[in-house]
Amino acid sequence: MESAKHHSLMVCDHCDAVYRKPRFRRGRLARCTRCGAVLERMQRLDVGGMLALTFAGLIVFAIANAYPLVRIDVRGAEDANTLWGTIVTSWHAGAFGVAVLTLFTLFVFPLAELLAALYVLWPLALGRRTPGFGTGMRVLRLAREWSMPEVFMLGVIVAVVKLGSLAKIAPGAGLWAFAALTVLLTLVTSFDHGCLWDLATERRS
Amino acid sequence: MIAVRAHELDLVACTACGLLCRDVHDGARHVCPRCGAALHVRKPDSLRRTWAFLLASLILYVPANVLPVMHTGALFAGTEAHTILGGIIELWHDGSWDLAVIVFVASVVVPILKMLALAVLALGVHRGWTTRLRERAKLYRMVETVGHWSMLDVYVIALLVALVHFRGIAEVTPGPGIAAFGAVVVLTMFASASFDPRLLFDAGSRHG
Repeated sequence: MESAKHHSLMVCDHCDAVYRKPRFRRGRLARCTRCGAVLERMQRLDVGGMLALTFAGLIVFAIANAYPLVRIDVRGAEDANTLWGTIVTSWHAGAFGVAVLTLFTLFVFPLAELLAALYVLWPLALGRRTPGFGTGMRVLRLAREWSMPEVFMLGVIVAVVKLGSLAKIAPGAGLWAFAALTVLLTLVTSFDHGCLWDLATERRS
Repeated sequence: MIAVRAHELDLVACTACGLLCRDVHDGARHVCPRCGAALHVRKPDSLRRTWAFLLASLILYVPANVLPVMHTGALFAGTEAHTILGGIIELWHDGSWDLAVIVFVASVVVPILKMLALAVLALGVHRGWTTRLRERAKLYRMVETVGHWSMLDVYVIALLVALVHFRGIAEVTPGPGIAAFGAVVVLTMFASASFDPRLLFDAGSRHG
C-alpha cells in the first residue's frame, strides 16, 4: 500500500466515511455527519502552547510524586503517604494486582504521555521533526488511553470519606499537585494527533 | 446525506496517524508509509477478540463481587470482610449517599452496562442489523468514554490499605476480590478496544 496523496481528504475512524478536510478556526470541532464521532479538533493552541503545558505537566508530576497525598492521624498515631508509598505498601500487603494497576495507570503511563509529548513537540516548536516522531506519537496514543489521574482523584475523596469516622485526615501538597496534574494531562490528552501529524509532514517537506 | 466510505474508494485510513492510503488488495501485510503502524481495512479478528475478552471479564465478574475486596481489623472489634456491594451499603448507612451512588455507578452499573452494550454491538454485527446505526455508534463511544471510571474501587482499596496500617489499632488488608475486579476493568477495556465500530456501518452499506 502506498500513500494515496489525498492530503485534502480525511476518513472517520468510527464509520469509514470520507470527508474533505474542513478548514476551521481554532477551537472548533468537526463531527462526522454519519455517526456523530469527532473527526478533528482544531487545535486551540499552537505547538509552543502545547509544549508549555507539557513542561508544566512534568513539573507538577514531580511535585505530585515527591510530596505526601494525605496525612492521617489515628488516635495519636500519625502517618503520611505518597503515591509511591501507596504502591509499595499495597504490594507488600499482597495486593499485587492493585499495586501493578496503580503503578501503570498513575505513574508509568502519565509519565510516558508527558515525555512522549515533550519528545515530539520540542523539535516541532523549533521547526524540525525528530527522527523518532512516529514512535513518540505511538507512545502518546497508547499512554493516553491508560492514564487515569481523574479517577484517582475521585478515589481519594471516597477513601477519605470512608476513613472519616476512624481518623483525622488532612490533604498534603502532593494531592494539590495531583489535582493540577489531572487538569494538565487532560489538556495534553486533547491534542489532536491528526493535526500533529499533518504539521510534522509539512515540517519535513 | 449518504457519505462515501473509504473502502468503497479502495482507500484505507491509518488508524494511528490518519493518512489515507490506497488499498492494493494483495493480501500482504502493509504498514503506513508515514508513521509505520500496521494498516488494516478493519481491526483484525475484531469480533472474535471482543467476545473472548467479554467472556473472560464475565467469568471474573463473579469472584470480583462474591469475594471480599478488603478485610478491616480494628481494636476490640475483630476483623471484618467487605465486598464491593457491602462497601457501597456502608457508605450509604454512614450518610454519604451521594458518594454511595457514585461508587455504585462506577463499580456496578458501568461494568455491567459495558459488557451488555458490547455484547449487543457485537451481536448486531453478527446479525447484520441495519437500523439505529447512529445510536449504536454513539453507544460504542459512550462505552469507550466511561470504561476506565470503574478503576475507582481499585484506587480506593490501594489508598485504604496504604493509609490504615497501624498494627493493633486499625488495619486494612486487601482481599482476593479486588484483583479479580481490576482484571474485569482491564479486560472490558481490551474488549472495547478490540471492537471495530466500522463493522456496524459495513452491514448498513451492504443492504443499501
